[in-house]
Amino acid sequence: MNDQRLVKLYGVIGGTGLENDLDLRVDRSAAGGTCAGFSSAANVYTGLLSDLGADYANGASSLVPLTTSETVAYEFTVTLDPNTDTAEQGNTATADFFWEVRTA
Amino acid sequence: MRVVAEPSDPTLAWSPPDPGTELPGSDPVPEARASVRELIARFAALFWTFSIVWFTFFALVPALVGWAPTVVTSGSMEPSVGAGTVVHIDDGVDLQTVGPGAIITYRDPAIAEMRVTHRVVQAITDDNGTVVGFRTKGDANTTIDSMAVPIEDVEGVARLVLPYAGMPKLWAENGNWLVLGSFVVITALAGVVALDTLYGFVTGSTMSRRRGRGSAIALVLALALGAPSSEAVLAAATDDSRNDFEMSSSWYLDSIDRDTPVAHWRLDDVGTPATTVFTDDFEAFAGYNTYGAGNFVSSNAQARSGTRSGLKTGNNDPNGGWKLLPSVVNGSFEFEVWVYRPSGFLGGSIDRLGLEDATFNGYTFNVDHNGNSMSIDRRTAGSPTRIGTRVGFNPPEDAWYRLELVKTGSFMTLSAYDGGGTLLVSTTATDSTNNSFDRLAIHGGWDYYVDDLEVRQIAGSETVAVDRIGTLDGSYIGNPTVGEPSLLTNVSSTSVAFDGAGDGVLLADSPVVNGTTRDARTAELWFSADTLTGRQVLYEEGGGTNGLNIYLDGNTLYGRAWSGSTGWSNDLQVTATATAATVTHVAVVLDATGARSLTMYVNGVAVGTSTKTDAAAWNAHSDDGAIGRVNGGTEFHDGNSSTAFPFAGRVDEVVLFNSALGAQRIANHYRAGA
Repeated sequence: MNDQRLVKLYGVIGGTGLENDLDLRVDRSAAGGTCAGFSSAANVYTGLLSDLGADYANGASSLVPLTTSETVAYEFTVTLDPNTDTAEQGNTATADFFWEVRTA
Repeated sequence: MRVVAEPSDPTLAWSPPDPGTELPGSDPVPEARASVRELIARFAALFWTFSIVWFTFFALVPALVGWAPTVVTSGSMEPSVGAGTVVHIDDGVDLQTVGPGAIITYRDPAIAEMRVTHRVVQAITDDNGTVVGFRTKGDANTTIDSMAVPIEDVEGVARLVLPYAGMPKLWAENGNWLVLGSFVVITALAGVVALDTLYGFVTGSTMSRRRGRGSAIALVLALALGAPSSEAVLAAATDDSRNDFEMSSSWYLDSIDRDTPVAHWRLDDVGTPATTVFTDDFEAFAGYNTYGAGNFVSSNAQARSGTRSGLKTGNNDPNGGWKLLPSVVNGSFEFEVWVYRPSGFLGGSIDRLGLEDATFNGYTFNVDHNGNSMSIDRRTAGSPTRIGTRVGFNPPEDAWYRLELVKTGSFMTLSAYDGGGTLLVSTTATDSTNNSFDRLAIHGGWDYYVDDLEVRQIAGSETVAVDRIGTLDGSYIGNPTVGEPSLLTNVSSTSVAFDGAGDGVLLADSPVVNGTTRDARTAELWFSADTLTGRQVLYEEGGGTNGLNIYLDGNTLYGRAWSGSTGWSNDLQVTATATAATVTHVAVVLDATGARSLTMYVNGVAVGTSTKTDAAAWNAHSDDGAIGRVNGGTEFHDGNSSTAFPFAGRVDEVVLFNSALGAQRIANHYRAGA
């Protein structure tokens, strides 16, 4: 599949260690989906928050191309890793999420 | 438009009207209207055609001076550069001079075969100040592009921007054939009319319709399809709002409270308020004795308050001094003193004060100004042995600082504060060797000064086990030791130690907990058993007919629930194997909402479930409850009993819920404290 026309997700992730204990899952709805009654049509990303790519080249994609004027919804689910140590109490994480699409 | 159709020449033609000549059969007024319409049409055609030629000229001619045109097909640079704009790129610009604001075209770092035309927002330089790349941004984007552009990927800097000149190419690439076709037809017609008009002006005659059409179409095709080709790029980024996450500093309590407990005995009870036993500001110096070859004297060289202080001088530890306290301090205490250590030590560098008994057994702190550390010492016949954790600490010198040693049960905390009351460092130790103290002891190196000293007695055991959720406070029975180290990790709390001889916490009947018929209960606690001998009750509620309990029998851990009043007894039971002197989290979950089940979790993992298909509620179960022993009666695996069966060991964080918590919640409770 041509890499172009894909919507990619990447992020600028920071923190004091909690970013390594947060699991992130991002799902994409089918065309026309909304946040209300969200239904996943494709998975965009599953993994540690800290492992999310930091730029377009390393971004995550559902591998479903974007079509003109298409509207989709994305669901972000962040969970604390079950193996998190209590020493992580008080730690923080920050995340700026970016969407980017390129067409030719 | 006025059209003159000559039968012999079907070519569209226009001739300037001769005001003195009237065409045969014509009506002068309609003829004048037709002339105006034709004039407007021919001017429109000329305008259209000249515009096309003008754009084409500027789209193509700059290439003659080495500028490369590229058609922008995205809106990421709007409004300055819209889709369909032709941008001429000059590849002869010295990129070292390019800075923010310039529009550059470059090979996309993400997709090699694509080219992007975006504005420079930052030039990236190396340590020598040489530009090695750029950060770019589309004017319409909210964020800068995620990937930096290496300078070698830059193809040139924008020199000339021609809006709309590349629209035919954009239509062609996007497959807008209807629009493109309409454009071609209109342009062809306009071109024919325009050429015909020009031809008429120049020659006074009309050109052939075929020649005119052919020339116009050729012009349009050249413009639409033969225009300089370039990759089109759309780069759009959206910046979501900043997402901040913070892990609670009270994870355990947050986890518990999320499930709405009905009772929670943290067992952090530390006794009645401390009472002052002894203070000394050293303004009046009396009652101090020497220990060994040391000396402890009054001094006016330094004073935190008043004019005098006590001075430890002479020989090193354990030599020093001591003074009898007005009354004996038993078990738990608070000892607070201000210390001044001059820099440039005369002798040893360690400050050591504390409480001891008649044979100089006790506890003193150890603040090392040379080794820069702090710890707690146990004193045996005056000799120190370090216990607990030795922490790094560069103590103040030539300044007063405060030390506080707090002993609760066998758990000790030593904290150092600066003159402003800010905590500098603290350390802990656990030791139960010494529990009675009748004197203040001054040891350590020399010289150092002490002032404003205070000793407070903390009650050795508590009478009330506070319920932090409701009003079901428990009553300590026997002589349990409060203030023991927490059984949880990184949780600020203490535990209570039961001696196995009858210690425990008695819980009265409560409609919130056991006085009402219910269909669910979750009971959980942390424990560490000293031994696994005999039967030891950790928790029980109810009596021999209806109730629930958690207990040890040898090394078998039992969780049980029964409700004889509603027809079920001695049939819900789960067991697991216990280990002595090991911190263990146990949770028992009764669910009698339908088919009855009892599940026991050990360290967050289900170890077994006992189920019955007959449905019946869990009857109200009076006959009190207890932590660490039986209160009234209970039902064991081998029958009812009202024997106490006291537990020997430590218990912490006993929590009750009037709901059947799931496996994930129990695992979370364990993880938050493990």
